Amino acid sequence: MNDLSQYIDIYLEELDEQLNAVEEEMLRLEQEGSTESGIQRLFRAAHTLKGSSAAMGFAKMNELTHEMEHLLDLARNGQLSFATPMTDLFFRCLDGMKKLQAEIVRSGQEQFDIGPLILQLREYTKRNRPVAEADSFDAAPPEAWRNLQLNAVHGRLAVKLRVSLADTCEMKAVRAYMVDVQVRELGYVAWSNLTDPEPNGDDPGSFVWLAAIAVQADELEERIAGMMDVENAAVEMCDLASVGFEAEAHAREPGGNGEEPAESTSAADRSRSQTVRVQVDRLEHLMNLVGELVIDQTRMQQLQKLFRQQLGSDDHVDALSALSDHLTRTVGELQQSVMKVRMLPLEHLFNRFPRMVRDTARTLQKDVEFVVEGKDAELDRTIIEDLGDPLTHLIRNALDHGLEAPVDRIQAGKPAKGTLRISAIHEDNQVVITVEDDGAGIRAERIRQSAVAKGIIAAADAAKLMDAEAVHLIFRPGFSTASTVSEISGRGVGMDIVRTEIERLNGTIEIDTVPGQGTRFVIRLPLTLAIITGLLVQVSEKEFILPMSSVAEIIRTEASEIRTVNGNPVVKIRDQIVPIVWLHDALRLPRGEARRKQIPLVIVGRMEKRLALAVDDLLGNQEVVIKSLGTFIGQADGVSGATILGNGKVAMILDTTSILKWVEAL
Amino acid sequence: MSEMEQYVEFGIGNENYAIRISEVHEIIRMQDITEIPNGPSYVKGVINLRGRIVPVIGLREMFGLPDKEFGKATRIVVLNHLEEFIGIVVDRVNQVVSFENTQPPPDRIGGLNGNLFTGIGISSTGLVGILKLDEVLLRN
Repeated sequence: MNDLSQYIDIYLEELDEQLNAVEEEMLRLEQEGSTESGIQRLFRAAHTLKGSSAAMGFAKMNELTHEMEHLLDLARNGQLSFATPMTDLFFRCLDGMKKLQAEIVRSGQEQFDIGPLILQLREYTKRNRPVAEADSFDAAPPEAWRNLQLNAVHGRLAVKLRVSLADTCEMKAVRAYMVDVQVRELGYVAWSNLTDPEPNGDDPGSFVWLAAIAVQADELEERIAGMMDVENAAVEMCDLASVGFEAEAHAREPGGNGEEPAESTSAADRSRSQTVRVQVDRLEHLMNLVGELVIDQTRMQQLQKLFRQQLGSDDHVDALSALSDHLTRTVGELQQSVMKVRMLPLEHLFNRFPRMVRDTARTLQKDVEFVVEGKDAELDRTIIEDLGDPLTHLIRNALDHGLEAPVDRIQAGKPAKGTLRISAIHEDNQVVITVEDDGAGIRAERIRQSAVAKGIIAAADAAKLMDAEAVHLIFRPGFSTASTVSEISGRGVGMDIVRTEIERLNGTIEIDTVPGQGTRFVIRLPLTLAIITGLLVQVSEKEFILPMSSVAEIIRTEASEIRTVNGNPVVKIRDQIVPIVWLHDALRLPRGEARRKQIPLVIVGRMEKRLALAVDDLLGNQEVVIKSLGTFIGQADGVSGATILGNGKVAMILDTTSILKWVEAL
Repeated sequence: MSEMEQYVEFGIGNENYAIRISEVHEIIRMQDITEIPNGPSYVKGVINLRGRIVPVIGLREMFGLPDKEFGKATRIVVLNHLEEFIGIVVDRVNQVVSFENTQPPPDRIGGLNGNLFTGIGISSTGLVGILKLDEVLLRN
């Protein structure tokens, strides 16, 4: 083992890759039915893992993959069908392999007991092997069924014939060919899984035919059974009415992607040789250093402006300006590059979901097609890690509350199978992730009633909300539309947690829903958490940063424009009445004398809840490096972190979400 | 062993206290402290220590003494506590000392709970309360 320890990383990487490939393939098999190329890919994955696990001395992984490979080998030769029981069994095997994987990662020791799985795999083989099961006919192309139908006229019977040859039979393919000749004498053969003889003589021992015969079924059975080396022959009448359905089900198959697997492996090899593994903390350190540079560069820019003001046009000042500009560009690029290094494709996150959707849909007895798009969009790794829970919650919600049961869908005139789509695209400096279902949608009226009943909002206020605004009430704490708490999505984690999580990542979430047609959640996230664009504001002689991502707009208003409604100050912005809050009050700072005639207002908040924050002065926007306040201080209400300004002073970065909450609580 | 251990001795009001020197990162002059809105009351704010954000607490407040204007002698003792820097504001820093012998703390020392101290030492300035950092910095 000691000599092999240097390969463990490569092994684990391969293991991870192959397990993902197996899972993906299994889900595809389940969705689209088994295809030859799919089983072939599964076989290859199992085969690869068997080999490398043996080489690394992981006996259990080796044994399990060996048994799986064996079964897959039978399946690809048409001797076993890859039907639902086998899919389920394979999913259990996959879980077993993942447990082994986790154990290998943790301790290098395989603990998980694979005995039961091995037993089930063998049992399955034994039960299904001797005679090819009815499902062997699944491999028949649609034309075969059509031809059978066309020929099963004038008293000819459509039958399924299964023949298994004795184990002692030397040249099985030749014997099977003779059976074929016999069947053709008695009627028309629409299809058979008869294959060309394997060069190594390792032919399967059982064959099937689809035929329209001119004799009685038992006569055919008798004739074939009487042939040499034939151990068993079984004739079954074909139910052509169900064939129509079957044929249709298989019509989709040829459309499956015929990608050349050999090519994709070599592509993976190529890309692997061009990557370097780096410790995450080294990246963190690099990011911190870049952060320092960004601060210094901001300071330098300010000095440069100052010099220009004081000295006017001067050769040295010009040189400094040029230098400062160049530095700004270079540091900007450096920052971008380091950020890129920290980014991971969303694939790592999205790949978790298909399996979860499958299991959840089964539990809920819903039929769903799960579509994943934009796996290659990249995000900062810390964001990806924190995105798992909220997305899982949204997907579960969509399956549980969004998509209707198949019966209800049919009644509503929709296809029985619902569609759940998760996609990601890059947009400017953001990644937009959408979770979309074609389910029942959210009825605004129900949300209003529910919110009022739960005391989240006063009835009068609820009535004033437009539908699009009312729907957003589901994000309020204490809201949950499900009347019963279900195992799937009612674990006390409400939509408010989802929104809080997203906003903690400086992101936003919005709902777009049409009753009866579906619901779409749109999440916008910054590419990175470490550096944001901030608006520097002054409040009673102190400087604060408001993240630009939460600023809707900035206006200046005359003191005389401010009116009061119920004693609360408001301002009218394009027909919308927006309440004003002095940031001083939220931060418990003295307001002081108003020095200016015009009051700068920073408009923050979401559609249904806007707020104008009155500040003393606007000092412009700039890139700021977010620093945590540390665990000793922990969370301070209204503050999400701190940053060091160009002048070396520390400024607090304000968290508008909690300021909004604070205002709501008033 | 413990007899030879060195301590940083500092004063708050009329009292003198000491912290093991191994727990002190550095001692700096008073800085601009940025307050944290709605932060914990015992935290005065944060400072920029060469690019790091370091929280600063007032021992006066923690020990229930009235706040005092910063003077020339006011210092921030930056401690290394649980891999985090924490600054404490003290009225003055006296000296680095080691104590010949220390006595177990009484139940209460000048209105403070005795379990905030590991013991009482005697230096040239008189009695010195040796602080148990883990207790003093215990949140809340």
